[in-house]
Amino acid sequence: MKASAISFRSLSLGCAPLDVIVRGRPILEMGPGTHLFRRGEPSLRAFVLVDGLAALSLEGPTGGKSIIHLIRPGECLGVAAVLCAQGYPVGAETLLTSRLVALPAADLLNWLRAEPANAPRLIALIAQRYGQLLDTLVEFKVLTPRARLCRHLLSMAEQDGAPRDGAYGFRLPLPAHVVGRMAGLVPESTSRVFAVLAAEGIRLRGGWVSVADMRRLRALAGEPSGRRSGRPARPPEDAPG
Amino acid sequence: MTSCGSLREYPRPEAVLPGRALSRLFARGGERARFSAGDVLAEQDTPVEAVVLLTAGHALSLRGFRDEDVPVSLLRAGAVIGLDGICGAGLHRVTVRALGPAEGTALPRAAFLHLLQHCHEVRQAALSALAGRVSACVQEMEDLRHRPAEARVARYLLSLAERGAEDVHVRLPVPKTVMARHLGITPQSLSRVLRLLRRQGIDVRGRNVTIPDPARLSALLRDGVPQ
Repeated sequence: MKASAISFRSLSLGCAPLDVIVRGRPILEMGPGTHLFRRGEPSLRAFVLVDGLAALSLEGPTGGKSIIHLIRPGECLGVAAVLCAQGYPVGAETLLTSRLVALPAADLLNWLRAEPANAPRLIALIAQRYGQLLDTLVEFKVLTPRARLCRHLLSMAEQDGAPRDGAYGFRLPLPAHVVGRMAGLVPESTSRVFAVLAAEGIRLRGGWVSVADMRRLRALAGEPSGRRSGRPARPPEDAPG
Repeated sequence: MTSCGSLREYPRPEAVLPGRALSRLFARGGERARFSAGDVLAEQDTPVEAVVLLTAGHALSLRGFRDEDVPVSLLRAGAVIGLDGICGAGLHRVTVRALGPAEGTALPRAAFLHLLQHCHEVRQAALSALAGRVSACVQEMEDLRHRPAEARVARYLLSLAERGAEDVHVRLPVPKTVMARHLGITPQSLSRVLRLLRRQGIDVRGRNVTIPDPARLSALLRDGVPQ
């Protein structure tokens, strides 16, 4: 990684409480796939993502990584770990070329001690991340890997402006293997699931997804079809996805 | 915190404030309350009016997913409810229900925020507790992703055992269907795993479980349960 001459001045941060401490620090430029920290390492610094895309991930026993949360510009990484001082509970890496600001743990802790008025905002920041992770956790409990993949596809289609029903096509904003990892799938499984989805009218070609019927995609993502059943569309999986 | 050393990595209490800070926090202005099975101690997406320290009994936190409330954490004495919503939007992030007779001490939101503002120890404890909750959530995600059903069930049972105890008798705090949902497995798989564990000496009768040798169960967790 290298420090650019630009310093962090006026970006509007999603993690606004850190705005003051971040301002004026050097910006680091990193290529895609750069590890920011690994699970279990001492939590020596937190980061704020200025632009690009990063992810929190869990590494499996065979080396496959699941993405448990995407970090977008303005969001921070590693703050909870620094405050907990028990090592990073997850790994983090850049997915695209990214620019970040690093916050040494000592600076963050000293700032908190000197500026106690910021504590509630910092608590709110960590609580928000907790809520995001809870949603991922619940999805892992309730949905099959295929349903999780469809849920991500549905979310991306909707962000692209997809209608509620009918045919629709959109370009994946991320490589397919990254979308698979967000669903907890290794690359080979991602290909297999996409092959199964082709029979359902959902096809991936060269990063372009064509959906024959958005209603079908919604159903596969486990969305209730109008009636409120109180049950997920599919039973929970037993084995790790 | 719960149980034996081998359980340290198991995702545990929602948020537990360290001793001194905890007593200081709730000794001032805390109001004692008793709860019965099914009582709602917190409701997701409603305003946090008080932070509640669970002092006795068990409670279950649940996160709404579409029309279903999905079990997230088993809470026991020492858990602090409402910490995840006390700041920011001020809304509870989970629903919490008492699983049986339970007791707690409630501190009004304003009093908690005042202490947060003026006591570094409380501030640090609250931040650490929340950060610990994030870690526990991640740990459970990893379990779901990478650990087989047998290991998840074994760890759940061990988490109910007292630290260092031998020949442990525990009562499952929730019905088996809820336990299965909590662990991300089907009820059928839970039954299958409990049958496997019976062969290892774990006695399960209804919701009553006897673990004759928790250390052995820990070893099974580490080495795998023979099929």
